Amino acid sequence: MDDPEFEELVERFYQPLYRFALSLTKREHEACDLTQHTFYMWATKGHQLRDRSKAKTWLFTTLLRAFLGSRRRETRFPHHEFDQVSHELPSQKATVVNDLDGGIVVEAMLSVDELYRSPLTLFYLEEHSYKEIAELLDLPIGTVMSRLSRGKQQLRDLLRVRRDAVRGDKIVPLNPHRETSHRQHG
Amino acid sequence: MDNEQAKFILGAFRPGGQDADDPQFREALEMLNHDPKLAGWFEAQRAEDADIAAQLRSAPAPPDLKRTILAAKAVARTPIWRRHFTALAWAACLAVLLCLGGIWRHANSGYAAYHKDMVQAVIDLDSLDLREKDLTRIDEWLDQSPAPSGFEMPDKLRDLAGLGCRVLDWKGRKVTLICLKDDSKGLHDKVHLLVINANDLPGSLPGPTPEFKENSSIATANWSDGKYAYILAGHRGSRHLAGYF
Repeated sequence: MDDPEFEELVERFYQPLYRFALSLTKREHEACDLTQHTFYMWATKGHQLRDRSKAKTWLFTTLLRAFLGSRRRETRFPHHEFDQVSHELPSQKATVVNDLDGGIVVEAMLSVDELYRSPLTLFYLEEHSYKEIAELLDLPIGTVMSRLSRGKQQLRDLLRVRRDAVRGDKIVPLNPHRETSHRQHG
Repeated sequence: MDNEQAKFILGAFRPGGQDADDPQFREALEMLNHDPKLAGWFEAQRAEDADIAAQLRSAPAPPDLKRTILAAKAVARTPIWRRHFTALAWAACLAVLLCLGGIWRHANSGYAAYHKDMVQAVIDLDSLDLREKDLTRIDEWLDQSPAPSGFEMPDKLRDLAGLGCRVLDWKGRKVTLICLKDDSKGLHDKVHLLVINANDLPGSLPGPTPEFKENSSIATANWSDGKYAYILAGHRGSRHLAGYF
């Protein structure tokens, strides 16, 4: 594998991969670790991929597997989610004027039910078709469509709450739709 | 497909239009032409999706992430043999094939192969390029040919009458064949002299003293003088051939 190829892949995919990782982990430093780990895996094992046109799928699949692997380990050594301690932090006063701000969208996306979050993030990153998302997440196509439909609805509800709060200059919690149950990914 | 089913399917249509050619969406997209309400819904949905997608993409990744990834590459460098495993494997295969090819080529282009093919050529001989009794004229004819000429023949062969000559091709190399008639002692026998440039035969050649080989139908005397390699072939055995030296 040539260095220019590696640099080109990093340039092309590190941001979408990071955003996907963030949607999975909900924590910036873990998303960074996952993204870095993914490219590390590519640097050490990417040469085994014969069809170079599948590099994108390889990267996203590798990242997802790494996340699932880390989460299996986490179940034995749990730690607190950011949401669980967010009440200890000062509430953020929304000062955004635009209807949709990048930070708000990311924040809302992270509040979407975990079940819908991965397909929804992949959909909005626009790197994958619904068929590729189904393949990546190992889900039937109908399930992906269903989760996209419900996930979009949930995201819009969350954004509406945030938007209304911004317009009313209210102080809003970071995660108004905090899910109460932990569901398995997929 | 009803209106709700179309909405369900179109919900998976990426706002950037990347899925426009996907046949799965065709029917639902065609419905937009006949259902203004559905078209309005889709337009609004797509605009909102595009907005969300743009905002999601605009959220920056940590500024030093890219630099960290590239820096980590330096310590993640795989051994060169692993990075280029496929190329090296092909190179190894090629090297083995070349070696085998070299062995095969050597086995098939050395003196043994040449000798075998020349014996067969004599057995199969059915015509000559030049029919001529006079060896001097045969020499002259050969001088004009691409085949070896001007070589030294044993004196006792020079004493024989000529039948003619032919130029053979052996693996792209020219071989001179001279047919001689031995009427001495009432034998009415034929012998054949084959001459090739020594440089055209890789590997070891016979020495200047004739070496004899014999099979059920033909005997040969084999020698070389440094410039040419010679085979004298006849049907009366090695002892008879030895009499020409």
